[in-house]
Amino acid sequence: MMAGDLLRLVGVSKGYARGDQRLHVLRDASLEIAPREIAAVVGSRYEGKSTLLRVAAGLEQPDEGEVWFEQRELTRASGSERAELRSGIAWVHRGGSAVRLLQVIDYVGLPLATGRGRGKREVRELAAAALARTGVSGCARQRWADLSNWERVLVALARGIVARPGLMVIDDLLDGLGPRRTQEASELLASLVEELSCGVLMSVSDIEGALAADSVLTFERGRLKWIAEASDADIIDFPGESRGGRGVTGAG
Amino acid sequence: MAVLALLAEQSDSQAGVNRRLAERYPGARFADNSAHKSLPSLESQGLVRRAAAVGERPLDVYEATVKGVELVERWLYDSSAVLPALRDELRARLQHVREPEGLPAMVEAIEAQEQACAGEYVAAQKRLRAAQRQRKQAGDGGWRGVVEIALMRDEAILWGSLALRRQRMREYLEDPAGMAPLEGVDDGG
Repeated sequence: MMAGDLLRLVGVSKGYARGDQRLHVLRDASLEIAPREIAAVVGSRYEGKSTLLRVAAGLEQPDEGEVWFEQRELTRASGSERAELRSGIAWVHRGGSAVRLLQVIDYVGLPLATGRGRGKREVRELAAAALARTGVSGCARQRWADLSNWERVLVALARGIVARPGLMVIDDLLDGLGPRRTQEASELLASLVEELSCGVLMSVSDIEGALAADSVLTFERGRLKWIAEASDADIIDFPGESRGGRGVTGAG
Repeated sequence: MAVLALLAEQSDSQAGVNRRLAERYPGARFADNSAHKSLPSLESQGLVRRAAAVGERPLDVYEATVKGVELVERWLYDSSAVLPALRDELRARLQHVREPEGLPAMVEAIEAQEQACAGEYVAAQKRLRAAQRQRKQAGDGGWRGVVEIALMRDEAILWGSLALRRQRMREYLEDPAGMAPLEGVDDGG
């Protein structure tokens, strides 16, 4: 795979109808993420982080622009093709409504449970391995409500890696953890990225959560702006093993 | 006080103190000749003295006196709260800007600072990563390493946050009434 071609957003705009007006949340946003690159979007609520992430993950269609994943255009893919592409992208967040009904092990296995022809036992084994990798095997039989905030982060990461995705899109997972836990989560994330050779696009509300990122972006009136751009050396150097080359181009 | 604290740790020459100032306080922007300017004053106060020449040791080596070491100890563990000063040049210039003629130039100056702070963030983050990697490889869990990593994290966070704060200030000044058409609106996340 060539540098920078894991995820590519080109001129993406997205808005929502509000009455007779159009609210422009994203304007001409472009970015590239390479395998083994961690890119963080820093911003407060309501700036467009989640919209950007949902579009990048293929959960929402942009009004304009293109989204490419592994050199295939997600935005123009047919239903089945889109589903196949999306199976390579993990959407990582701190739980939705479904999670409350399931045991943690089944929640973590959800990305494997649909349309992949795997039996329940195999799914559970893989989910158990993912939970073990993030250090929360003991939570497997618990419910979401019983977990601490920190355990939820680790369970969410386990769910993120269970299908060995090419890209993890992580929505506000590292927010509000405090310095020690933020550092711990960042180190874990970096090591998972190493193991899976995947890329990461994540949103954080403050710069502390972005310290592990190779590239840092923020918004300026709906437009993406780079604070830090990764170089090949950044990605190769951190955290000590080869991470493959890439290139980042400017954003809208 | 930084010069005195460094000498309390270890006797050193002027050049050595300047080098250690740059290493230990990478974001503090001490002048290259800080030691040269501070040492005569510290010496006249009896806080440092020239060390006796021993062997091939250069004559300009300074060491902290007992009085100097005691002052450093008191400073280190002083429990009184001293607020850091919000005294940066850009804020002062903003206090005196003549609106509206001066505003475009100020906005330009703020943007230049955003970029400079972002550059410092990148540099600080690189130093942090290098230090973390070094500690990991060396299996270093010592106290000094913990403090250094904490300081480096704090510095990177400060520069990154400052870059973002400058951007927010610029955006506010560019559009104080919030009249920009329907941008940056609630996207639910």
